[in-house]
Amino acid sequence: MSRLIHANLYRLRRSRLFWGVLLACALESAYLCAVNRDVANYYEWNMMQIPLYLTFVDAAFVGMFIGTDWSDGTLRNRLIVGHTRAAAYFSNLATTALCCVAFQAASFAVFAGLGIPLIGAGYGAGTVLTAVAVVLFACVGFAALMTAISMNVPSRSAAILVGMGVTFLLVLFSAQVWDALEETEYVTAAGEIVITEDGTISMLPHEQEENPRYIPEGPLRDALTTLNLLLPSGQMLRADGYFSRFSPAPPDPAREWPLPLLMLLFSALATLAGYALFRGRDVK
Amino acid sequence: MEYVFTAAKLAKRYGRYQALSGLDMRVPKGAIYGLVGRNGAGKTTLIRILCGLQRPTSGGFTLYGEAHDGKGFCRARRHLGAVVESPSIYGGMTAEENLRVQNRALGLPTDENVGPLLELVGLGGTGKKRAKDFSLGMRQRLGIAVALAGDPDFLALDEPINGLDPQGIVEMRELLLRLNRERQITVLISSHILDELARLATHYGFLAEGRMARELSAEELEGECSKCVRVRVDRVDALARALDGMGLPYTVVSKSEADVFAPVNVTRLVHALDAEGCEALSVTERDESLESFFLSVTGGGRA
Repeated sequence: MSRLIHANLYRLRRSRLFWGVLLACALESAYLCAVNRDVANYYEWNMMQIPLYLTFVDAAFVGMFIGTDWSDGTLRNRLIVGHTRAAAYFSNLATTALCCVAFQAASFAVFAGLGIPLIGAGYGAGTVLTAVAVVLFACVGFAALMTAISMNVPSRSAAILVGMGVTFLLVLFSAQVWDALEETEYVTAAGEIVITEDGTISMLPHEQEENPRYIPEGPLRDALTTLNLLLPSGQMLRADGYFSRFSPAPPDPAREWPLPLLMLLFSALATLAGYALFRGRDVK
Repeated sequence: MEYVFTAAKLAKRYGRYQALSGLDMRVPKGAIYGLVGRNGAGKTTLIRILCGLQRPTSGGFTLYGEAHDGKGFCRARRHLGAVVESPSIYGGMTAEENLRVQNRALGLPTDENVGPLLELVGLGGTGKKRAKDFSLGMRQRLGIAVALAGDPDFLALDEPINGLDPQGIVEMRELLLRLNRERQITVLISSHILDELARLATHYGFLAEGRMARELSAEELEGECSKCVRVRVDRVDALARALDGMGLPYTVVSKSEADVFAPVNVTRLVHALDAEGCEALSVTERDESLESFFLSVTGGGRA
């Protein structure tokens, strides 16, 4: 498998697409730092806006990288000369995971390098490093999912479309679930305006009423929380929440240690499913 | 005789379509084995299975003595180079970069084979031109160079001369002959261009409907072809009845002629024709072309 990784790294070194995406990630982060330096107080808040957008870039890149092996027929070369299906699959997984992490790391590096001097650090190093770790592990999870798709869709354009479609659905689902979980048990009803006989206008005190969208503590809430934390999109949104000015109850980063483990579990499940399909398929 | 590839009752099914049905085949070491068959006869499927790209539905095969489902099969495939359907090359890379990628996949310690391989296939001067800008012939030759990167003993080529111009066909033929003679590489080549195959092959396998209809050496084929006898009569329907009665294989070539692919007892044939009220105009022995032999073996054109 190391030989195939070596061949993939040579491909990356010669790939204009790879260097172009890497540069674009860095430039985009620099642009955001420069533009938002007066808008936001903290570079960390800006930094966490990027990862979710990058997942779409990851989906397109992985589809292009592995899809080229299908469309140019070069996947055949690897199998013909005696490499196993497992070696072909896992070498591509290792390469795409490296790329997805590299794109994200390039973005973070620019934020750290420009953000602190321009905007200033607002949160503790522990919080920032926890968020960075969560996002980078989530990138590996995304790479595993996109690899599973691309290794089983033998058309480059179809792999890109399916990958981006799945990414969109995942992000949408995770955002909806976090929104639902953040609903409070009671909401404050708008106060009633009263005009008395003498013409005085007054407002009755606000009343608390039950929120119909609130998901009570129990199995459903636990299941939705666990499911969302198992998804890379869910974890990225959660990491974003560490720095959110709007979130009612930002999670405590000190208690986030299970997230990388959940992401490794997700990666393993995606890889298992992807490899099982690829192992049995006919290569043309 | 030592065989690099043997297949026994090999079958492959795609859904309802039976691509191979009980194929038996043997490719001798050092041979240029011409795989001949109509479209859909199973040639490409066979090469894909041989290369480990697809698994047979039933039956089995060996490569360098290693069974396809055995532990040593992947190792045996290291002796193999192949171009299946289209050349497997990165269009966005130069010829040299394509070979460098393959060298890394093969785990070769250096890239010193790149220059000689490009010279061997006549792509020495392509420089920074990307493979997607190559002509079809150049891509075919680059595909072969990539297949040769691991210094294989066995080369499987699926329709390598399809789409080539006459000059390209001659160059491809010379390249394959050189590889076979100078490097002792066994070549399995499938082709529709039978006349071209006849200039190359030392052995033939004729595929029909997923089965091996005939497998023979070039010498045996020459012997078989020379047995063709052309009979000219005034009524070919009567000739067909007479030949059917004698149990001889034949192909009707015109309203008055038929080729018979077996030794003919002329006296018996004339008597049979006379009984049909038919007049024998001439009986001549002639060399049958590979094309007509192919048609006779695969059932095409049989009256």
